[in-house]
Amino acid sequence: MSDEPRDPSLDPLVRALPTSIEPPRDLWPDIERRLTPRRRGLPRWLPLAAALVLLLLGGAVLRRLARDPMPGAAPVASVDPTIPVDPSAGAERALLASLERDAGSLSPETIATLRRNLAIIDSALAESRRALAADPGNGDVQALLRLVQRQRTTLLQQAARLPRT
Amino acid sequence: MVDDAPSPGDDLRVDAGQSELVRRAQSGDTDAFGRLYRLHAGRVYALCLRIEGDAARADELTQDVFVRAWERLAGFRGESAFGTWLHRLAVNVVLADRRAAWRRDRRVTLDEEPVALASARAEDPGLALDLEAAIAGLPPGARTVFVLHDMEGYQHAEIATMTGIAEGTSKAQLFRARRLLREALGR
Amino acid sequence: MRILLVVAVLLAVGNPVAGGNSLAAQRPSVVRLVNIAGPLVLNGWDRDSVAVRGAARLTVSGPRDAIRVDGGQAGNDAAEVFVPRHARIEVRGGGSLDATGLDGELEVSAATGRVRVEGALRRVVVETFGGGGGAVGNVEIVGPHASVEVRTPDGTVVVRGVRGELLVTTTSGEILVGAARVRRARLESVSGAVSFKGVVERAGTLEAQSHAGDVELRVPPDVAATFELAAPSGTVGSEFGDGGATRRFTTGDGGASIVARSFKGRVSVVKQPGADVDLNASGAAGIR
Repeated sequence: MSDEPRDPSLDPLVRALPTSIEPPRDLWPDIERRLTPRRRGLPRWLPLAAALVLLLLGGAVLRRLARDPMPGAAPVASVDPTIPVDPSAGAERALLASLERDAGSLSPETIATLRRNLAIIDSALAESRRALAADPGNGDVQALLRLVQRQRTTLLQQAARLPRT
Repeated sequence: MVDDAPSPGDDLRVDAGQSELVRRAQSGDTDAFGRLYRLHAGRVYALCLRIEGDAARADELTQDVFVRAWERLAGFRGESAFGTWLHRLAVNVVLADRRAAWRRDRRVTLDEEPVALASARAEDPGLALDLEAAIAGLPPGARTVFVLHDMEGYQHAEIATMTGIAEGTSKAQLFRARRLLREALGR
Repeated sequence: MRILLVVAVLLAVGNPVAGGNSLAAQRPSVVRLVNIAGPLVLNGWDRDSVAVRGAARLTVSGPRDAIRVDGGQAGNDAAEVFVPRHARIEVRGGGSLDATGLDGELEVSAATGRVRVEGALRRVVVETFGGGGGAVGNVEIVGPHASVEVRTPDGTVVVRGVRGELLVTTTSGEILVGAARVRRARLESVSGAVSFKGVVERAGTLEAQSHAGDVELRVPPDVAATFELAAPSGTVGSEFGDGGATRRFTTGDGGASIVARSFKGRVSVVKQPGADVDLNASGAAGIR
């Protein structure tokens, strides 16, 4: 709360002033000359971390390939049995079934968008669920889990409303 | 084809995109720091110009702010937006300069009344420019408090801490600044 | 030079109009634009009629209180349609949309291209699907609209100058809200960043959440609100309070409720004087 009311006769003028005024000349060359050099280079742990990330990514890709060798034949989405059931689960199953039936009449771009985003959602759901298992009473994690579940339903509903070709 | 045109929301995305520039600058990348300068120079210069009321001094202080920011960047932990951190630093640099100026020139006192204010309106018909000119014509103490309180959003308690004056003095200076500005602008 | 083709046809009540290139009618309360494949430019005007500019191959029909404009437009040429500014406009399917000068209601569904809406509408609802492909500015809503709802799987959603209610929900998109003054706002992304710059009205609510993205709120230094900030596997920073993984605190007399959560991103609250002022707004948008 403000410690003092604004002055009504001046406030509109003050608000109309620009918050930014460019200096009349470029000051950067003068500033740059005054900067003392600082150690450059990457942290020593970075190569190790990069190797670890590559290893993990490689594993994930291999697992994905093993599970889904023919992306074109894959279903639009799958229901992850580890995800906690939410009130909209029944409606979601119906939406998914409808989308599976109509997959042929949706554009490849639509299918790709749907798959990409469902994968993001399912990964987030799994992450939230693990966190909730470790800390079941955490209201913030519960709220974030509900957000992701809501988004899953919204996404499926949106896809179901798209015109078919 | 590369599209160089600004994208919608660029300004809103600026802060988010700056964290990478800050990280690079923290590791010694002056090019990244140069880009941070380009993003923030106008905001810093505006603050310096309005509190100092003098373009040449604002020019020097803007340089000082960025040199100081470079020196202190290692201590920036990202607990606020870089722009907020830099702005706070700029306020400190400018206020330190004002305190030094007040010590140098005892004739400039908080009670000084401006003599140049009345002419501001006649010099430029644009109200915004009028206001800029009128602010520049305020006595330094009143100008500093007006800029910090009414333009930069600080509260009297914060201004008192930053400038070393009493909170009551800050309120009195703001009252005086507003009165002088209303008179100068005929409002 | 393109010529504005307006064939004014006064309609009998309830009489359907035979399909034509363009058409006008009396005061329509609803205008529906369906499956216009190319880019669509929608202009609100002060007349009670609907008109199509240029050689757009659109069919205009309907009873006079519910005009329908059907697609068929192909290629890169934009179809430019003039509609009564106060009407309720529904756009279903189609590609990109650029709407200006409207102050009634606009509902866009199943759009697959960029959507840009500028004006001061009572209500704007935009649902897009695809068309993002990483494109920046998938949805941009500019102006002091009273109520804005956006649902999109991806891309960037920019909302600038909203006054009232705001709902943005996206899976992998980024949400950027500026110069807002909201009574009730909910901003949700699963993997994208959420940024809000504006004012939450007294007794208003703001809920900004992302699972994996950063959430940044820039609000006035004198905000009076109860804050609830959390990042269970991320970090929290606020210029209003002390450190900690979860923060609940009140500023002023706590009139508004502000909630920001990110599961593994960074949640930050920054003091921003003039947060609801849009310095980039065009004069026409009237956001000040």
